[in-house]
Amino acid sequence: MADPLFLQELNISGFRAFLHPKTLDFSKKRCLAIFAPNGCGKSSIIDALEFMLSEHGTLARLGLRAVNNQAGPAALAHNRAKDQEIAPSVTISVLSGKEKSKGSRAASGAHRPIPAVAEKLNTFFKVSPIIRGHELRTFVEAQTPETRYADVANWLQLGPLVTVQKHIRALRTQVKAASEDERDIRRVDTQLAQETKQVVRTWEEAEILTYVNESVLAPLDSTMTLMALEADDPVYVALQKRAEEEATKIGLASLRHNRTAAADLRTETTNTDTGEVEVRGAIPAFEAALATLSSAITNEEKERQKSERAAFQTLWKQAKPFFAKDAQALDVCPVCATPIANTAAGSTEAIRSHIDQHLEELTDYAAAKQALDEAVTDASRAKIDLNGALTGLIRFLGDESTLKADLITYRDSVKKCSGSNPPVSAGIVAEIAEHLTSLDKDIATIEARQGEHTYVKAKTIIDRLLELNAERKLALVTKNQMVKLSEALTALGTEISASIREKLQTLLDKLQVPMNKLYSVIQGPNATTVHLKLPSEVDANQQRLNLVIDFAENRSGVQPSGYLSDSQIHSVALALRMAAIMQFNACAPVIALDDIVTSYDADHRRTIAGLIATMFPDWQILITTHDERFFNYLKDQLEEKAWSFSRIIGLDPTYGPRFADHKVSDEMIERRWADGESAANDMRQAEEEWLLGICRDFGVSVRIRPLEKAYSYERSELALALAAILKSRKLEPEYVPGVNNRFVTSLAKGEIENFGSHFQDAPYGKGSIGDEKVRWQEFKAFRGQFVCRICKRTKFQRPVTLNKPVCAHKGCETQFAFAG
Amino acid sequence: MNVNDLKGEGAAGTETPGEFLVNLGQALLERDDVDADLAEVISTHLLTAKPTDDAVPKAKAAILKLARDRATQPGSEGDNG
Repeated sequence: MADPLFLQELNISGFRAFLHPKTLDFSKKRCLAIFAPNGCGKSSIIDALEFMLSEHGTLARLGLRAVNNQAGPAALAHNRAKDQEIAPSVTISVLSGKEKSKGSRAASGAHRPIPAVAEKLNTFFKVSPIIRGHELRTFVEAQTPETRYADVANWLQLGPLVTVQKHIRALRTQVKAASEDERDIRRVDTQLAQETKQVVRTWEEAEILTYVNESVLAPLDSTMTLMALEADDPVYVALQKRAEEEATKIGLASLRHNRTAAADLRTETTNTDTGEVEVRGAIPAFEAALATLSSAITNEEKERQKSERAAFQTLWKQAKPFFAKDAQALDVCPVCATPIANTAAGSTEAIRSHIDQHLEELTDYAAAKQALDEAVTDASRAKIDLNGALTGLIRFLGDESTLKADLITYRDSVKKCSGSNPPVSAGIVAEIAEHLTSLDKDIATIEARQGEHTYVKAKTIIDRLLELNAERKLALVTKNQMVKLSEALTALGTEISASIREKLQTLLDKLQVPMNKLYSVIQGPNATTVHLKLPSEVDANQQRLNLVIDFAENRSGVQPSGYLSDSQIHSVALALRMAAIMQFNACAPVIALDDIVTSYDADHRRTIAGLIATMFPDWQILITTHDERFFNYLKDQLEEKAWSFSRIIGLDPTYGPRFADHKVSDEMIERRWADGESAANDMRQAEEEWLLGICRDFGVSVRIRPLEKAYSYERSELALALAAILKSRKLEPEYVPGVNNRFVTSLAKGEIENFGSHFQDAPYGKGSIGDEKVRWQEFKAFRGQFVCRICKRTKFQRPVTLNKPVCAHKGCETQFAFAG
Repeated sequence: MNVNDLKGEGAAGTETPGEFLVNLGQALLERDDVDADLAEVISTHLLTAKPTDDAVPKAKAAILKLARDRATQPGSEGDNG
């Protein structure tokens, strides 16, 4: 078996009531009892341990955030820590055999990670080692069986199992609700009502079939009757075929498309206002375009002939200004120097007329050419349009159709047509007119018979109903599966919860005997038997734990709060907690007890002190109490070799709890240096403690304390008081060789030396360990002079009748004097 | 009498809650009379010492998906009642 794990040291700095660093050393005496009046910070020591071990770096009563009555992690740090530049933290070191582990945890900021040493401790602590008095009574009396179940499970480190039970209960409730959820089915009904125009509002297949047969199929074909809302129903199969045919051949929509295509080729309409017949369509448009083209060709040719000499256009344009009316008359041609009179025209006026005529002819030709170009473009576009329109109608016609063959022939002719003469269209035009008449007749017949009902529409409606039917079936099957899964989950959850209950009950059974033994130690051999029972109940309920007692033969299994006194109730809870700790925490035998005796009378307090002494002799126990009598019982009954006893004499807001007699040992300081750490603060505390002790022994004069600092002595005034009594009694200590003797000098001069910042500028920063060692050597040398010259003891006293202190040892009582 | 007289075998120490839950989930998965898919969902999302904050919604979503998958499997029949 591995060596048990013990706390070696606990350092608290800027945390809760502790502002300045305080180290609790367990290396020599592993157990510690601290007495303090209320509000002096004793619980902060237990808080430090709880914080160090907590998963999220907080305390249970602070919570993870400031909400409701909880202050949140902000309350971890001392309120002056930031101003004093003290980093709030807790440091712990533990020892297992010879293996030492140490770790610090920041107590401020959002990130307060748990150190490895605390994680290691937690693996050893199967149940929480901390027992707080205020929780005990609440557990027995005020808690419900449900919260008690959760608490006991948490004490036994089985909180995750309680969470599993809680999750499974929640999941089962939600899955059951989901299995009863009919929203998907109702949604199908809503859509059914929309599809049937509110005729059928809830899914009744017979009603749906009646609606389909009477309102959807009968207008199309009264012989069609759907027998089942299934895709393989023969009537639905037939409907599919007819809808397909309707879309391509015989249907009203198809006929209308067919007519539109024919009308796109050629149609005649009578203007109701003028009575004129208007001919429209691709064929007349094509023929009109070709006629325009033919005319444009003729006109262009004529104009081109007129402007044969168009090559002289530039010459005429340049010559025109010379022969303009308002220009100076020329005698000779400016180009060829021929006398004007000798030219063919014979005069300036004749030449001007000649130029004007030819320029006009050129303008007409340009217009004719543009008209021809546009006619060619229009004819080409009309040809394309006609070709498309012909193809459009051909597509609607069956192969056996004469019109189709004639249209193809005509389309070929159109394609081959390259000039301005269109193919003969009279025949095809007549056929199209006949086709249009036939279509109009068919359309009128169908519209008279089925109105707007079509097979395509009917199929669309039935297809949607088939989809809804499929959705509804899926919703029903899914719901059915959910019901099965919900039932399976209930069975599974019951089994899981039963397994957890069984595990918890097994642990509780292990506790019954030790708990009752501890209880009988506290309450006496006639104490009633306590039972921890997990009632067998429906798993749907929150798990409960019944804590009952056998009060009397006719009152067995009753609630303790109705039959037990306050101290008995307290003892039940204390016995349960201590039994759990001793049962499961043997690898880390540590217990922290915070004010656990509030409900007890003097005899019971003595009994509990005795219980700790007799039943936990090998354990490491930290006790804080505000009960001085209990504290004294502890001092009476516990072994001095294992126990330290300390008092907090007051809470200094600018320092922290002031301890009366807790010592910083030389070994603690040496250990600091061995760990490579500064020991300045420990040295300061050690010096203060020694000063307080020697001042008390020498009976120094200290001025009356202010009321708010009744117990607090500052180092400076102790130093002054010691210096004063030494000086008045002509007691002069030797200077320590090899050092500056600052400590002695400051004492001798009655000056105050602020040692807290002696080695470094920043308080509590890392100073030179070398300087610290020199300083410590000086102090130890100085302290070493306060020793009895005869018996070498270091304890003195000065009764009021004596001028000088004497050795406190009764067999010696030698008057004090420095060796020199 | 002292603590050694009362000290038990430390059953809590032999199996952590996390190990207990893992073993419990494994035992359920190996059983023939338990819906294996459902046990898988429970083991994955709930039978763990450190479940996520949304463990229950995730488990519920997984069960809903399981129901839908089973409903769409060929041969699955619903209760039309």
